[in-house]
Amino acid sequence: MAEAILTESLSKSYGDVKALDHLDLEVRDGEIFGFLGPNGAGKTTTIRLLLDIIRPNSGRAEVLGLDPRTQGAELRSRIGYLPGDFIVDGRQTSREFLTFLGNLRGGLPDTAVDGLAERLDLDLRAKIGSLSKGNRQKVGLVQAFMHEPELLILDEPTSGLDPLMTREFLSMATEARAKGQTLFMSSHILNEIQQVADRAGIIRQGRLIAIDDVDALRSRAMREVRVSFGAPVTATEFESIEGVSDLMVDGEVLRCRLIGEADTLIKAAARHQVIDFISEEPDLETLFFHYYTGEEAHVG
Amino acid sequence: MLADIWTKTLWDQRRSLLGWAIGFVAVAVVYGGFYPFASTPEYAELIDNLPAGLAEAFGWDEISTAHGYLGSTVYGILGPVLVIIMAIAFGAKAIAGNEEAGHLELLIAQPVTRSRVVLQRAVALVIATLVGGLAVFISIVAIRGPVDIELPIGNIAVASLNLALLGAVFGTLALLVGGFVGKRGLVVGVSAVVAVATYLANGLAPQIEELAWLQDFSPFYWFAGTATLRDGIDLPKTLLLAAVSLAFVAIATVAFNRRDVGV
Repeated sequence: MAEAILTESLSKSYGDVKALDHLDLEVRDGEIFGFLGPNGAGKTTTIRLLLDIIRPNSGRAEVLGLDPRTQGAELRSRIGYLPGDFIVDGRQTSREFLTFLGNLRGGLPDTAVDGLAERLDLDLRAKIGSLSKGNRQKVGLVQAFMHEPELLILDEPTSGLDPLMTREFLSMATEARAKGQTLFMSSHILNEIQQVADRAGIIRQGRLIAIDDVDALRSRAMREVRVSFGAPVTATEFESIEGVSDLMVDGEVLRCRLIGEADTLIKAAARHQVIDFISEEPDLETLFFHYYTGEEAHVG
Repeated sequence: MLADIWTKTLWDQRRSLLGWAIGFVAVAVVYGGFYPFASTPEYAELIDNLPAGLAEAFGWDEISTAHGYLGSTVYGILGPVLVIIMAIAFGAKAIAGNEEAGHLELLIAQPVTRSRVVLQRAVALVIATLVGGLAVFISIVAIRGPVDIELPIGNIAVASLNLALLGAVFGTLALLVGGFVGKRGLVVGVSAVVAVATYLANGLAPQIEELAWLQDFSPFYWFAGTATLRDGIDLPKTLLLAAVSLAFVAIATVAFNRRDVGV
């Protein structure tokens, strides 16, 4: 089986609002796929459709070769799912809750949970209601990973986690891939996806506007560049460089936007004394803006 | 207790259920305990002076007898009110309340079918109403000697079972409405309106000749507290309570299988 997830023209509307508009998506077996988009773009809608929590108006989905509509329970036994809003009854301990979920999967050894809890520094004896948002999210991660599912579907997995735990999660994700598991994770933080994902799709207003290798997506993204020189420079030597736009030179400081490789710009700058060169990580908004304005080129 | 959905549901509701059980015991013991005061000639006279229709509507016409007294108090007003409120609360929580709180999404994302969720929640609900009925049964049997309630234990048992099943009817009705819509407030509202309407249909409809037929459709009529305490089981009525509950669960299952969750 080559695809862990396959959707064809998958659409979902709420009244007049098109939450998902003819989504064609393909997630390959064994990869980490990043699903990027701003809030309300349709990420969670897609994920809920894959798990048969909601039903499409048209189109179809196939997950692990199964139809979520008719083979849902069987399918979900092979999936680990972390909802975007991980909310559970707070009056139980994490241990109680995880044991219950394990039992719904035919029972899991305590060790499966203990290892993950230790790794994420989670106290299983505490009532879930008493946990901080970050610690609750850890409970969510444990329940998604504990049965080592073939496919992990994670909706904003790092939400609420501190940087240290985010890093721990990202290494859990790459280790899962090394064991042959497939990961489908949504995020609005490009950086995280970039660190671990093989491929990514960008969704906006219910439509997939780009899908590619993460590196390729990023190289096509726009960056804000600021260069400080030792002496004043002129705009003319930089304005014809490919990919450079919105060029502004103010004495020793050059600002511009750059799409694609930075090589030519750097070499042009290197003819002068360079005090500082800042190329800002393209944030998701910029990336979206870029893909949005260039939408016609990427979507047929 | 963490083995399956129905056991987990009861486990999560253990404190609440204990509170309700205490409430049932209190109602049964306190009201039952007052029977000696109601079985006096003075009290009977008081009731005799009430308009006949009113006394009949509330089942007070036989209030000086054990079955009449219990049938209009523990098994007439407070018992049904308690069991129905509890059942609607649990039934509304089972799907709609859980869904609104955001707890249901993760459960149905597990390797379980929607039907299993509804059926097991229904089992937990019916067990809760049976606990209520059992609490009343044990209480009445316990005070039977001291306050001279001369009724066969079998009749008390059936009336208590009917009480539990009356709760089950409205609890599964709440489950049914929740099968269609995930709004707890709406579920509670619809269920409560039906409960009040069918209560009136049982008590008041027979006073009006043209509406008398309505009584046949009231679960309170099938419940028949006073008659059951007096005559024992009326099998078709008890079965009807159970059958209607089962039908409601079936409809809830079908409806819940067809809709989106958590939107």
